[in-house]
Amino acid sequence: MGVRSQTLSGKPATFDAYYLADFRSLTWFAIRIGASSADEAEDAAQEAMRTVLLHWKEIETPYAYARTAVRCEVYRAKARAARRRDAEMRAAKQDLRQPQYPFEQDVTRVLTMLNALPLTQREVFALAMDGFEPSEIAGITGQNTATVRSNLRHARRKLMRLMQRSTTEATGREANDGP
Amino acid sequence: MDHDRTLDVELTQLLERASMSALTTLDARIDVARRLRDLRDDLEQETASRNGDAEKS
Repeated sequence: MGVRSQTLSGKPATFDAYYLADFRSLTWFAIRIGASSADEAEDAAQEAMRTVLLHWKEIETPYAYARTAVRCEVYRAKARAARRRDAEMRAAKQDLRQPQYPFEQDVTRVLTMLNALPLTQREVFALAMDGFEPSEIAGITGQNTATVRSNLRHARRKLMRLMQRSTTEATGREANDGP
Repeated sequence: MDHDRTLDVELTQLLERASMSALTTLDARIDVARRLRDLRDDLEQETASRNGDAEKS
């Protein structure tokens, strides 16, 4: 399931090599943990990369470091968006919260399912999808390893239920649409 | 038990398809080399600006 798993704990020879290898995956990670658009995710990844570049010499595990930084960026952007949305809702009295992604059906389905998880489960699952081990996820999120394992187990179980439900609903719709 | 195992496999396959599809979309959408140049240019400008300020003071 992970993007890769052998190099996650290593460090590429140069920052540029690391950037070219990880920028897209980091953007996809930002989307999975809740960035409200692909643009917002890309900006969060770029800001995280700036932090990585500034600290490149002392960073030992850039893949994990960048994900820690991108979490901060995404949550900062979400807080800003929430404040802006509140102001807009007060003005327009309508909900403008629909995320906007340029993705195909499987991706939007997965994002909808991930969105239904509590934040801590969503985060650890997104990191596991990138190939991080529970001990590495614990280092990034500040939870202990046993809690990470428990969150992963619960997240996976809930995602299985959600997937089954959405499949059943889609099948029901097709049956109702029939002749 | 078998049912859970089937669901588990289906979920893994769905997540893999979604990741591949998302990364393909992002690949077409993002010019990573340009973004890297932008980042380096921004930092160079910041550094030059800081050095200029330091020389003035």
